[in-house]
Amino acid sequence: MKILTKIVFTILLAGLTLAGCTKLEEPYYTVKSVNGDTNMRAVILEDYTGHKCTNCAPASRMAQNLQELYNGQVFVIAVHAGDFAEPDSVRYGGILKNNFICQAGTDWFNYQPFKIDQNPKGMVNRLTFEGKQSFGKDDWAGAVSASVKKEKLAILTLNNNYNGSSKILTTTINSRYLQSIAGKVNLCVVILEDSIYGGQLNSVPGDSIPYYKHFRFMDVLRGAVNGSWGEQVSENPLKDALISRTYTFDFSTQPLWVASHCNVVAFLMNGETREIYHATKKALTGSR
Amino acid sequence: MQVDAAYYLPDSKMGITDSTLDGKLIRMNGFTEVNYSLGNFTAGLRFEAYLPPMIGYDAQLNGVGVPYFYVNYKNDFIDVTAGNFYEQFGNGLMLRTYQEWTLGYDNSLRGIRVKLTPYKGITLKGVYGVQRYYWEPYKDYNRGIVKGFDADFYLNDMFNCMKDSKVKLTLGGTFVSNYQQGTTKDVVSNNKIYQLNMPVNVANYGGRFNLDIGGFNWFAEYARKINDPAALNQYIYKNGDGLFTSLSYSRKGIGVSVMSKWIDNMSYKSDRTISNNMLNINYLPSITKEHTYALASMYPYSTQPNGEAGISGTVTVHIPKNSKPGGKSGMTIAVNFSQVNGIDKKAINDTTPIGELGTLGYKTSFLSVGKEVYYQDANVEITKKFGKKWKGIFTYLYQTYNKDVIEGHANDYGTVYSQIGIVDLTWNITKKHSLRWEVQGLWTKQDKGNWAAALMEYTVSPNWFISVMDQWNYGNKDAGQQLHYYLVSAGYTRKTTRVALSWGRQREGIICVGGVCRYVPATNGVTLTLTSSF
Repeated sequence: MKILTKIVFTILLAGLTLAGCTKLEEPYYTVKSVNGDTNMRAVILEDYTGHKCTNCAPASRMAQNLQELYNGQVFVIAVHAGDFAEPDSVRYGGILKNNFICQAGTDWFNYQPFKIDQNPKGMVNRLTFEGKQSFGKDDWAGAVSASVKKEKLAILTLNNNYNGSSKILTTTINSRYLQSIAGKVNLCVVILEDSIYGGQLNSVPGDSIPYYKHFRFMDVLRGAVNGSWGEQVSENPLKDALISRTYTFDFSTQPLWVASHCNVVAFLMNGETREIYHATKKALTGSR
Repeated sequence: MQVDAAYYLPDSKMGITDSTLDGKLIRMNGFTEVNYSLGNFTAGLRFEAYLPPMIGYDAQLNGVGVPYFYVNYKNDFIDVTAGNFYEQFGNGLMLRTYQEWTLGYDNSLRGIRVKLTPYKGITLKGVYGVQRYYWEPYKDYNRGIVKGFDADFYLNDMFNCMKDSKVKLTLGGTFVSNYQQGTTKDVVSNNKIYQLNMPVNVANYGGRFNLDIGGFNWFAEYARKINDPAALNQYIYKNGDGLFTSLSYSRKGIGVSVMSKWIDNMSYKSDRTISNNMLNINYLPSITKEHTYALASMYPYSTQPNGEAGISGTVTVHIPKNSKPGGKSGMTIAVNFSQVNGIDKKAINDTTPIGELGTLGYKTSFLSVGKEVYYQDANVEITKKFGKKWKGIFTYLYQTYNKDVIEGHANDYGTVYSQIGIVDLTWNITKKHSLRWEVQGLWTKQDKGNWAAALMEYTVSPNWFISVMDQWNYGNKDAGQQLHYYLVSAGYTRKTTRVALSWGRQREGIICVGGVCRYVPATNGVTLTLTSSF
């Protein structure tokens, strides 16, 4: 009996592991053909980054690639926050003078449930993907791919009126819910700026550029128009319920911002979980 | 228990400002571990607090809690642990979980471990669990599930005919598998989205032997890992191979050891998207010497899981007392050499670059050695007593350090060639009082240039010590960075409790333990360390 018990134990132990082997054969991949589908839910990809982060340049490029591939459906917000985003005029030859840190970015970065504890890290509509709400760049494409297939919850339109003389932006957002939604819904409006040049550290093996003196920063979060978490616009809204909001923003308070490089992004989100329901983006001036 | 706490100060010369400190002037890492045994049962837990983590430790450690707890039952036949556990199969090429406080590293498994001793000389082990990942709880398959089986056969115990043999032989075998959810993964490259096929179960298996004959010991372990596309290998599908072997001989007055390893694509993690040190299932042993002197450890080697071929050897000779070279007190000479190169990688065909995502990546021959030198260290250490009161340790090192490869940079630093000389003298003034001096020099034309260091330490045994140290980067090409890194330390030890306080600058660098490293940024401030056991 003793020997039998020992044999059973041994077989059980061995059996636990021996099934675990998946050998794959070529081809190992397929190239996905993707397009932005504006009939489906729009997706915000938040790229938490910083110019001192040596792995962030490729992540930034990846985010921009995804935005281009899903043209019109995926919008990148590059959030410069935390230690890696701090300006540094002493070291690195003084190339890291840019300060892209803003209150909204810092509030999002520090919001504990997001767990943005390193760079680069990202969120896709602030939804959980493979058990994580925020994750490294290698998960962004998968998370975007899963999110773009989701049904649209609302129609969102945005109109900007920018007065070049007074430097006042007036932005109007209209929305109609396509489904009833439980809970509080916030509308958040933020300003992004493209094509800002400055230093960016880079130490990716195989990449021959140690640091960029003139890195082109895209979709940089400059600030929120209506607060870091927006404004509550609905509670338990029913299908076909309408929202309309108008906000103004004085660009003269931000002399470093180039209005012609700026975009406004508006998104609806769950007021408690911060999950993003839908989003839209429009240039401040012209039809860029 | 241990508490490490620091109060950080701004230091404009090192680029540390109030802004970079972000108001987190006081930081603390601490833990308390309690184990209790009753009969065949043992239970334990470890409480940890990183509030917030000290500078240089991963920010994701920020938090407080009990990440480690277990209950164990053990008798002659079975040893079962439920909860967290640390385990090592063989030398670790297939599985090793461990904790290293100085690195902020912990990859313990949480689950069940069973060890069986069904017959004398036979040990069987099985593990099943998920690894610790900072404070992130396991849920919804957010990381892999690790399963492993290991068998160890000590033939001299198993067979009576070998019981008294001078030849001692142990054979072992391991099979480990990691389950990670998801049969496909989307990866962006070259403005395309590649949907990669993913192996949900990745196996790593191998065998080993350990042979003792007289004063000789020979150990070897081989491991093979099947296709494991992951962030760290740029999502290639090549199998991994690893071989580690060591040979040693010792008799009175002399010891010789040689170690060698060959590693090809052997990173093995329970989350394929992780590219830092965390969630390693296996451990790739280090063969290079770990130095303790400040300047000798400035350029330490960090294991390169994507491919490395290394060899090291140490000869230690003790010259007896009253011989001509040994003098009245004798002398010990230790000579050590190690070198690690890349492996020889060739393209799989004319059109696919080496390391191309979604392919086999490259071709290589088993035990091939690449031309690129990653690391080389030749050193000699002479320890000599001069009468009853004086002792000296004299060390010379020549190191070659491929900074780009080892630290994971682009081609911006190149290779650092350095010569290091160290004199360490101890004067035992009385039985209780001693004074120790260290003088060190590091000479290099690369990186930050030449360094000099000096230390003076006064000890009153067994309770007190006080030391003053300065490291001076006098050869830095940037005159503004020719800084002094002064450090004043004092400590008190009573029974099993030790308190140490230090004030001064910490230079930027890398700390490695067993080939696993963490980056340490420059800091200035006061550090308190308290350790105790009861």
